[in-house]
Amino acid sequence: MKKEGAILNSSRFYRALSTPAALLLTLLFLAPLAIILSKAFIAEEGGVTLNRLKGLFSDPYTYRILGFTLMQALLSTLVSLLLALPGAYLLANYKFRGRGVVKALTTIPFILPSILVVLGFVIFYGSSGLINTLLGKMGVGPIRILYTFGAIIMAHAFYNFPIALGLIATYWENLSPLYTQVSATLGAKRGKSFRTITLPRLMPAILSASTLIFLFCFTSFVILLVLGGGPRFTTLEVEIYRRAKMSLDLGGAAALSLLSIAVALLFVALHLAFQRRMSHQEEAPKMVYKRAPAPLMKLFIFLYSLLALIFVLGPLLSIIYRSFRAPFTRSGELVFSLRWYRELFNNPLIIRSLITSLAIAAIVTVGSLLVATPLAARLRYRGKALELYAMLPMAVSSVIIGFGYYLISTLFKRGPSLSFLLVVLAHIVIASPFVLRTLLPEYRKIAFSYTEVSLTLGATVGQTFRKVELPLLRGAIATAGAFAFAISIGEFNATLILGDINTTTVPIVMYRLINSYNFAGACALGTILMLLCFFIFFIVETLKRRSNG
Amino acid sequence: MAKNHLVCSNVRVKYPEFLLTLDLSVEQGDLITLIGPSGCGKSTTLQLISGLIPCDSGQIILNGKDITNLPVWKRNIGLVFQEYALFPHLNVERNIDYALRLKHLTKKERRAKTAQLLSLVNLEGYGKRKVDQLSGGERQRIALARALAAEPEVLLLDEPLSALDEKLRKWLREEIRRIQQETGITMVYVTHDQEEALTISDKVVVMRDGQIEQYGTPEEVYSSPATLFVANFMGLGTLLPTTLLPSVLRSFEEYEEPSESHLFFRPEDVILHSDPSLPFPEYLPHLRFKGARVVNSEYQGGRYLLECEWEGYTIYGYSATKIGGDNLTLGVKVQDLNYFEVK
Repeated sequence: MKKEGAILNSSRFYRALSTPAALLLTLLFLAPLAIILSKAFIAEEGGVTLNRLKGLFSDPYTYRILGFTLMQALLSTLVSLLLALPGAYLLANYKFRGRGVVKALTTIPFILPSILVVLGFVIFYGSSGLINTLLGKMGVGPIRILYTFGAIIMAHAFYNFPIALGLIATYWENLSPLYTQVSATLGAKRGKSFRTITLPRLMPAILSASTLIFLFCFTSFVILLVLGGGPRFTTLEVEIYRRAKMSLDLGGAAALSLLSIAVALLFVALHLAFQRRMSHQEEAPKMVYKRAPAPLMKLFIFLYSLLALIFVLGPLLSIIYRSFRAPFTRSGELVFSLRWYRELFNNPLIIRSLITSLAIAAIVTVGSLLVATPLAARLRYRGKALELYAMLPMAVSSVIIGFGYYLISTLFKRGPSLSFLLVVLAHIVIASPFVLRTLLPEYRKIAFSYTEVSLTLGATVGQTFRKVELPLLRGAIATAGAFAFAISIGEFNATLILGDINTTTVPIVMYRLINSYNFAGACALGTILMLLCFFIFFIVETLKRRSNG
Repeated sequence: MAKNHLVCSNVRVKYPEFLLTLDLSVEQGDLITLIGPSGCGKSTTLQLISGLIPCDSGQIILNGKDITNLPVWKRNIGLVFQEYALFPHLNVERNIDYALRLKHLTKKERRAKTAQLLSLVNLEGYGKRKVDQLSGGERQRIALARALAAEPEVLLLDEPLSALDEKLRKWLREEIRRIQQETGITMVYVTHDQEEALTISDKVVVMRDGQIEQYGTPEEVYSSPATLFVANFMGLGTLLPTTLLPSVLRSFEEYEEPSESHLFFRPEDVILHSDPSLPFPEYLPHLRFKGARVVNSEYQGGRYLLECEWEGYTIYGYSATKIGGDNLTLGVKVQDLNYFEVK
C-alpha cells in the first residue's frame, strides 16, 4: 500500500545532497555536447547552417564508414556470443574444477585498459609472437593475423566475450529448473526442452548482452586505430579522430559525432529495454545442485577452459614475458633481463607520465565517487526517468567526449593546469556512469526498513545516511572507486584527442612506443599498468574480505 | 488513574485504492493490538503513528502534544519491524546503543544501559555477537531492546512474531507482555493471529478495509462482537436466522422478537446432550435444538469440535468426550446470543 521509501521523498536531505552532483554531471556532460552541436550547425562566418549535415549525408564515404562500423560491430558481437554461449552453459549447469578461474576471467575486460589489449595482440599474434613461433616449429609458415579485419574481430571478441559469458551465465544460473523439469515430464527431450523453454527464457539476457557488446564495438577506437592499421578499416570514431586532429575539419568531426550519437542512442534504448525484461524475470533464489559432468563433458569442459584461458591470458602473459626479455649480445638471442625497466625508470618523461596518470586517476576516483554516491542515494527511491538520464552518457563515446572537451579547450588559452583539469573532467564524465551502475544496485539492496528503523530511533535523515547507509555501502563504494581508478588510468581515447604534452598519460606513452616499434618498452610499461589495475582490485577485495570476516 | 496517552483523531490517509480512517485513543501503559485481515491497514496505522507516512488530515496527539507534523526522529515513538531490520554492519551491542550514541551518552552510561536492556530481554552476554549469528527469536528480542533503548513514549510492534514458529511465538508473546508490564510502556501491537491478540492485550482493535470495526477488551471482542465480521474474524461460531427462534426458544419469560435477521453464538456456549429424555440442568432461557446429527468430529487435544447438522443448518459445539450419533440435543443460553443484521 505504502510506496517504499515514501518518507525519503518528503525529506530535503537527499535532494540537497544530490542536486549539486546532478547539476555538475549534467554540466560536465552537456558542455562538450553543446559545443559539438554548435560546431556542427554554426558556420565559420557565423549563422546557422545545415550544410555540414547535408554534406555529410550526401557523401557516399559517410555511408561506407557507417556501414563498415555497423558491420564490424555486428560481426564482433556474433563472434563474442558464439564464444560465450558454451561457457555460459557450462558455468550455469556444471560443477567442475577451475570453475572459479573461468568465472574470474569474466571480470578481466572491465578492468583492462584497451591499449593493453592492443599491445597483447601485437605481441601474441605478431609475426614473431607466440602463435607464429609455435606454427613455425610445426613447419607452418607465419600467418598474418595482425592488421587484418580478422584481428579487429578477434580483439573485440577478446574484450567482449567475457562480458557475455558473465552476464548470460549468471542469468542462466538463476533460472529456476522447474520449467525444464515440467517440460521433461510432459515428454520433451533435452534438445526440445532447451529450444522451447531454456532458450526463450535466456533471450533477454542474450539480447541485453548483445546490445551492450554491439555498443562497445560500435564506439571502439584504439583497437581499430592500431590493429586495423589503415584507411580500409575506418570506423566513425576513427574518422572523427582523424578529422579533428589530422585534417583539422572540426565541423565535419562534429557532424560525424552527431551521427555516431544518434546510432548509439538507438542501441542504448534497445539495451535498456532488454535489461528491463531481464529484471522482470527475476525469480526467487533456490538451491540447485549443479551436476558433476560425464567423462565426455569433462573433456569438453577441459578444452573450453583451456582455450578460453589461452585466448584471454595469452596476450596478457606475453606482455609480461616479453617485458623481461632482451638480446644478450648485439646479435641476438633473447634472455631474461631488466633492461627495459631500467630504461623506463631512467627516462624522466616516462616517470612523469606515471605520476600524471596516478594523479589523474586519484582525483577522478574521488571526484566520480563524490558525484555518483549522492546520485545513487536519490535514485534508490526515485522514478526511472532520472535513471534513464544517468544512462545517457553510454550513448556518447569517449572519443566524442574527448573531442568535445578538445573543442572547449580551443576557446581558452591553453596552459598546463587547464589541460590537466579538462582531462580530469572528461575522465569523470566517462567513469561516473560506471560508478553509478556499480553503486545503485547495492544501494537498492539496502532494505528501506534499515533507514526507517534508524529514523524511529531518533536519527535524522542525514545521520541515517552517515551511520547506516554509507557503512552498509562501504564495499560497493570501494569496488566502484577501483573501477573509476582503473577506467581513468587506462583511459586512452579521450586523452589522446584532448590531451597535450602536459597530460601525457601511461596509455598515451604506450601508444607512442607501439607506433615507434619499441614493443619491449611498451611491454614493460604495459606490465606496470596491468599490475596497477589488478593491484587496486586486489586491495579492495582484500579489504572487503577483512571487514566481512 | 489512566489517561489517554496516544490519541488519533480523524486521521485519514488516502491511496488510489485504499482509504484509512482512524479514531483511536490508547491509555498510558496499555498494550493494545491491531488485528484484521491483510490489507486492512494495520501496518499503515503504525507507519502513520510513527510518522513514516504523513496523514492527509486529522491529528495525532501524544501526551497532550500535537505531533502530527513532527518528523519521525522527533516523535519519540519506537517501531519494531516485522523483519527486525537489525543493522547488519553493527554487532548486537552497537545495534542497541545506536539511539544512545545519537543522544551522546557517555561510554559508561551506554554500557550500563545496554547491559540492563540485554538482561531485560534475557540475552545477557550477547553484546559482542554479530547479528547474523542470532536465531530468529534472539533477533526479535534484540530488536525490542534496541527500540526500548531510545526510551520511546510508545512502542509500536509490526507483527513481531510472524516469522517465528508456533512454540517460540507463544513463549515470546509472554515475554513481550512481561517486558511491557515491567517497563510500563504503552504498546501498539499488530498481529493477524486472533489467539495472540486475545492473550496479551488490554484492548483489541479489529480493523477491516481501513476502518475500525470494534475497539474493546479481548472479552468484549470475542464474546460480544460488534459486527458479524468481528464475530467471524475472532473465532468460530454458528450463524442462524432469527426466524427459527419461536420453534427452539425455551423460556418462562416474555419473549421479545429481535429486530435483527440473524443470531450468532460460539461453540463454547453450546451445551450437549446425547440423551434427549434428560432435562437441561438449568432453568435459564435457552434455545434447544433437538435431533441434531454429528457430521464431523475433530479432536483438538483435550476436546472435540463437533460439526452438527440440525434441520439443514450447521451448528458448532465442543465436547469433552467423543460423541457421535444422530439424536443429539444442543442448548444455547439466550444470554450468550449475539444478534446481527445480515443482508
